[in-house]
Amino acid sequence: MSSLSIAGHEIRRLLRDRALPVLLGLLVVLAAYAAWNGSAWVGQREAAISLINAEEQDARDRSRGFVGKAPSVLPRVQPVLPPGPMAALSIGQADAYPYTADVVALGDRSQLLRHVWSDIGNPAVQAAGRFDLAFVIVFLLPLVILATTFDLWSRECERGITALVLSQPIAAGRLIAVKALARGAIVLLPALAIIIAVAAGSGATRPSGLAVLALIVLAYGSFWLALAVLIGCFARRTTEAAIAAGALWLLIVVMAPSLVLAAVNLMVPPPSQMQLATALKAQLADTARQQQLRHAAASPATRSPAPRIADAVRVAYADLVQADQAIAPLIAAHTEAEDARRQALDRARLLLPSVAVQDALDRLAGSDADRALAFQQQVLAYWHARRQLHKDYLDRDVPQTLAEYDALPRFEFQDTAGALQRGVLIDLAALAVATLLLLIAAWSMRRRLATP
Amino acid sequence: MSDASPTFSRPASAVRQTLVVAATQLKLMWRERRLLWLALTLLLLAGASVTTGAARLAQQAQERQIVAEQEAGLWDSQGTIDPHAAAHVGRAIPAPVRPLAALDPGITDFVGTSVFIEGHAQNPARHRPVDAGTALSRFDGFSAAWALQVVAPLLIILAGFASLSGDVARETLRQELGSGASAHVLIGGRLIALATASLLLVLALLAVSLPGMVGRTLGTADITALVAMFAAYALYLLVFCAITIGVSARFSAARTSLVVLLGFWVVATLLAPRVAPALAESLYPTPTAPAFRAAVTEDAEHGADGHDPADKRLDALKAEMLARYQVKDVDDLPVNFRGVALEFAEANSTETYNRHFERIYATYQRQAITQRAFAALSPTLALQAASRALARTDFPAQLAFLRGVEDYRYRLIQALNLEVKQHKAANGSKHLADIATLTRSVAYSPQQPPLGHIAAAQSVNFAILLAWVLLALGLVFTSARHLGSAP
Repeated sequence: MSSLSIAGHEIRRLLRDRALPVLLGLLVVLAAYAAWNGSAWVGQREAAISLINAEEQDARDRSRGFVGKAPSVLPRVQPVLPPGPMAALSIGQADAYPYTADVVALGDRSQLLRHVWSDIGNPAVQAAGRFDLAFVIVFLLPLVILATTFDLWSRECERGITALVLSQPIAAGRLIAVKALARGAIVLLPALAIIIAVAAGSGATRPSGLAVLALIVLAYGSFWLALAVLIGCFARRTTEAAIAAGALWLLIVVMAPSLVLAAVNLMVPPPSQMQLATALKAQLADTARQQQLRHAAASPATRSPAPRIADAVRVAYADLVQADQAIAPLIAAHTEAEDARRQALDRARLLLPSVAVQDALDRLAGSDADRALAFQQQVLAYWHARRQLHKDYLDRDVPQTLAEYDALPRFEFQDTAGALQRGVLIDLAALAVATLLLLIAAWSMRRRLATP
Repeated sequence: MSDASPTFSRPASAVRQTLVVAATQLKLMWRERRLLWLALTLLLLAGASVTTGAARLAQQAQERQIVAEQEAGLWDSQGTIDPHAAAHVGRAIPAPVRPLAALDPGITDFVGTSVFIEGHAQNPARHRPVDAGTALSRFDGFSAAWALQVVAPLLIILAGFASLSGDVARETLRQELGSGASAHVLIGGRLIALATASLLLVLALLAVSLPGMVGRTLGTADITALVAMFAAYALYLLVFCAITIGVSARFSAARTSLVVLLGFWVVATLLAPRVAPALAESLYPTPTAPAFRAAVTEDAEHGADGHDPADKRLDALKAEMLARYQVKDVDDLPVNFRGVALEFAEANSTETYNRHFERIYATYQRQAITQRAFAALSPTLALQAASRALARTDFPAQLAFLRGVEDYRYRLIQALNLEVKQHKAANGSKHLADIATLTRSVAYSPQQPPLGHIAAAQSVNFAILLAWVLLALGLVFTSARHLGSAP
């Protein structure tokens, strides 16, 4: 009995099953709806960014009239984090980080990303979880694969034909592997085509992005196929196999990630944003009070000849720098605690295949935490540069000119990672290891296939 | 009397037989150790979730208490300054911690934990626990409530799908029917057994949850809400028990029963609760924050803010004041016109913000009503809404907090403006006042929806659950008839 004939028989048997077209049809409908949802979200985000850009331009135009009347005119800038080219795939963490900032050159750093207004979406809708293509891939695709592969061997056991099948000149391990591959090809390849088609239809059309998406779906699909092989090795009855498949799906996709998250939150709790805000306010108020007392005690120094830009402006700038320095340790401690928690969460994902896939899709879509943090870093650097400009005007003692105002640098987010970035490769490696472990477990249990 | 006895004894005997069948089924379930272990694991996880959740809530309550005290200290330490400057300093008001959130966190992690209040503006709540996460954060959601909403129905299905279908069960059934037993008695007994096991699961969950929550400021209202919550869960699980038995009786093949029941479970507990909110939001979109802000800015910030001397509405107000007091200059008014302008502007901007926010809340409400329509497909949606409302972890509870804060904000800012209005300052200077003394009488008292209001609002969801119970019992009844006529 050749592998080809086994595969052919398995494919014919699966194609006769009326459940397959129903499942694939359902997948088409759900994936299309999810892709549309993702695309609508991208449209909404882009519309919001257009409004922000218009607001910024308005501030820029209005401030132009003040150039020459003040040492420097540095209007409020609202940098934005635009959705990536594959953004419709996954909303991911895009709602959990600010996508815009308030760069006021002479404001304090704590106001940069306060994002008081960043989100007014219905919390009840957000709590339900987003219905995007990532959800379809991570949660629903395994169900489709398991529904068509859970009885790889249990049906033969139930019909009492295992001895007959195994009397043929083929090893049990090879037999089940060929069956799994045949069924996998019939389910996974159409599912992959559906996902790629709806992703492209939603606007995620970058070829390298689609290639990585295909790689992720295939890797994840292989993991679930390997799990189906393992179920085949120990489940003797179809209902037992179905229960095992359902329970493993629940464990891998829902329970384990949720429990690991709870454990990480317990071991590395998130730092309190509320306490930080109050501590910053207290520190700034204290610094302002000290500065007032110091200024009241010391008479202002006078220079001869008097500078073009009054020294009072330099004193005000020095006060700002001092306030920044005063709150810097508080912000640094908070950032460190946040980073430690994020690192723990990031490491935990490597043990959880469903989370690794979610992470890979988030990274591919550009809705991951790292991209949001890169935006924050770039905003901070831009704010520093803006402040430096003000300082330069003070140092040269010549107010900003109209030409300089018109040449003020604009913020543009620089993407630091491509489609096949390091994080995605790590996710794929974690998935490959998990699949390999399952296959090793199945290999070690192959003798049980012959047990009636 | 003697004629009436058989009439009475027949139902009595049927009830007795049903109970005997139920007792036998319970014994069989007890012997199925795998399910028992699964149920015990679920109880352990749910109990651990409640205990850790309660500890986390206690820590949050302490943290918020500290923040509230620090904020009060900062406010009072402003000393003697221009009262309107204090309005710009503002203060943060932390949200109250809901004790039953340990059981059902609802939307707790998705709403801001404090509101920063200041003059001229209403800010939305900030500092959401869900902020600044990673991919794993999208998998949040395990709680005792979630275990009862999603996992317990699965256990019921696994425990009951083969009770009347499958070769062995059908053969046993044939023998039982052949010995004269009624199909209604056999199916009723199995339903009672499954419902009893489910009720025991709910009671066990209550038993493992209570130690974690006791002593953590559980008031009478909370305990009443807890009882109502568990009643709702009992109804909900009864729906799954009846559907499981009904389907098991309807299909002779255990595989078909399992596929049908698992399909219903996936749609009811996993898909519908995620698809319904997404569809509701598509039908009634929430505006983006920049669009909302632009609309408010247009109305409020470009309107009278009390600072802009060129504002036309302030000109009209000035003219009215001058006419009322029959003077020619604002300096001749018996009150400080700056305070009058600030008071007027605050009322104006508050009205604008309220109007815009109410529009957003109305959109949320329409989304909630649309979601409720999907409860026809899934009892989970009705239960989820009722459970969150009783735990005070739904949006109306958050809204009560937001409205309470806004009420306080308005009173506080207007108290400051009144002080400015009542004190004329000479030579263009500003009147100064001790902020702590001035605002001591303006207190913030946290608001939460009374249980009576919650019960009234949730009556629709309870009615939907009852309708599901009736529908599921109807399925059991028709399946029993089907079974009696063609086993």
